[in-house]
Amino acid sequence: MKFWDKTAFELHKLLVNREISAVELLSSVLERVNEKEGDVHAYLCLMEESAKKQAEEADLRFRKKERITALTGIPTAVKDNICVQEYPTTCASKILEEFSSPYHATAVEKLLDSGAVLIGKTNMDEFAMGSSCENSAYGPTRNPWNLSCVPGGSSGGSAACVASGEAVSALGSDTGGSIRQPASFCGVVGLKPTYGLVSRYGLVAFASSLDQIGALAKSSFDCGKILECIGGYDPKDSTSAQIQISDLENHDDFYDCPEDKIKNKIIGIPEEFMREGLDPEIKSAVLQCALTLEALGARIEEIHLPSLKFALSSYYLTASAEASSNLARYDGVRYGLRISKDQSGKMFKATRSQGFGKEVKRRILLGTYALSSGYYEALYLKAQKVRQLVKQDFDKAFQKYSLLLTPTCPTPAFKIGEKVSDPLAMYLSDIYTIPVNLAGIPGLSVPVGFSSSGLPLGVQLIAPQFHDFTLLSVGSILEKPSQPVP
Amino acid sequence: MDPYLITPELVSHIAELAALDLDAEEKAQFFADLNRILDHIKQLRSSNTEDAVEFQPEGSLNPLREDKNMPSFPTSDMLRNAPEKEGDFFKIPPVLE
Repeated sequence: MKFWDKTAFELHKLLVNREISAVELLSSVLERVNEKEGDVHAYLCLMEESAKKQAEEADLRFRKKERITALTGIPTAVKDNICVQEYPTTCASKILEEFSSPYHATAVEKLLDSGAVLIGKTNMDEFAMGSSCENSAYGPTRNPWNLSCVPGGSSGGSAACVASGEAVSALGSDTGGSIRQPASFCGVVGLKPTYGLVSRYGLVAFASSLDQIGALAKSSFDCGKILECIGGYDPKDSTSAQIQISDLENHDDFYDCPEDKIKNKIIGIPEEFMREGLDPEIKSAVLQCALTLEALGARIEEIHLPSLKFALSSYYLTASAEASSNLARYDGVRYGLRISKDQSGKMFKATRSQGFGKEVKRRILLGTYALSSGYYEALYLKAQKVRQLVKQDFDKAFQKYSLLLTPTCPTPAFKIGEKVSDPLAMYLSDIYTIPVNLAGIPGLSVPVGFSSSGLPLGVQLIAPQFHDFTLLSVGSILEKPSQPVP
Repeated sequence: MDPYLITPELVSHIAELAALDLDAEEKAQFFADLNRILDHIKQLRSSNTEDAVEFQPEGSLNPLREDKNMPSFPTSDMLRNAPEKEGDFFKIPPVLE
């Protein structure tokens, strides 16, 4: 029987009522993997053996009616920059090809505690640097809705496996849009939580002040259940927020009467996000969502966030600067690739030069430049001041507006190869998602339909810090559960 | 010295700082790419940051953990991924030429 097309919420009911077992559910999803993986290439590694054990343990919990959570028995994929003990964590890079994690990421530990079944590690842009999954050293992932298109990135494998039914839900990471943009391209829901809400312990660092682990799933509700599981304070991450998930605004009833959460609320549409360059079908999808919310009693207003036009520039300097520092650890000494040379300095250089791909080198160079003597003030410091302006724009907006409604991306999924030789065009794909990371606030992309060419369209909701469940609640109103990929 | 314009010599200098060996083709490619990216980034000049402070994340900065013994990973686990080791140590080629 096929179960792979259902949400975690639907599957949970079937599991609790013992209409299916977790072992049967896993087999159904693995069959789907066999069927689709040759085309889609969402996974870098399957964890079948341990997944089978986890499914058996999940069935034991259901039999004994013990420690049952919304995620117990649910086949979940993990992006390959998040550590699962004893399994490879390659970050889709040659430099970590042989690396196997000595420990679990906190988010993974929490998933396992809740009884989730971890099915495999998903493909991505190398070290999460990219917007198309084409920067993987192990070959691109394809968009399940149109195999000649990209799935988005960097969490392209996670988005594609949920869309194709090769997993029920997945973990991703989002530094500038890496969960929301692929979610939009693949027609699934993608949540980037508030910075600090999910521990980054065991997430391979790209840009530490921007990176955040989040969820990709078939519904906002499923994303909410994953956030409930993986979120919360972790002493192992010094940037972890000292807050309980259960204390977050609208947490207790995020799926009940979502309409009540927007009645008489003011929702802003930033005019800067709706200008030239935005695909007309996406623009009309955003306006359609505005009408839906208005019909439910919300007031919609156009607003201005004047600093947003500088966000992309600030982001690429900030993220690249942090990456150049974080990726200094790949030197062939403690783990990963080593290209043998007779002297250490030569070995470092040879290892890094052969181990890193082109986009990673490009960003390391840009970041090193932005931090180098003579350029630091004009580039890095300037970017930090502009980042503060972007944050202030949002702070000011949220004094009046409960939420912001925007497109997730300027276009639907583009063709494989289309932007690969033009890094700036690729960067512009994240222009609407990047400001959210700069400000450290939560963002959600929900699927709202299809373009005339049959590609999924997404809209983004943005909320103030720690209003993640308000986003999910409103997302559940706007999301249009699509027919599963054939 | 225009920070938004990079020279071929500067590309070589940065590569050296970043411990990357670039061949001639890569140097030419990154020279072109970085200038194109910097040409976009130079819009930052028109942002008014005269009174702006640098971004500071919210919440407590640099929290310290309690000063008490905690279990740490076994040495063998941490050495497992090492390309070369000797006893309990990572092994590297000579540092000085």
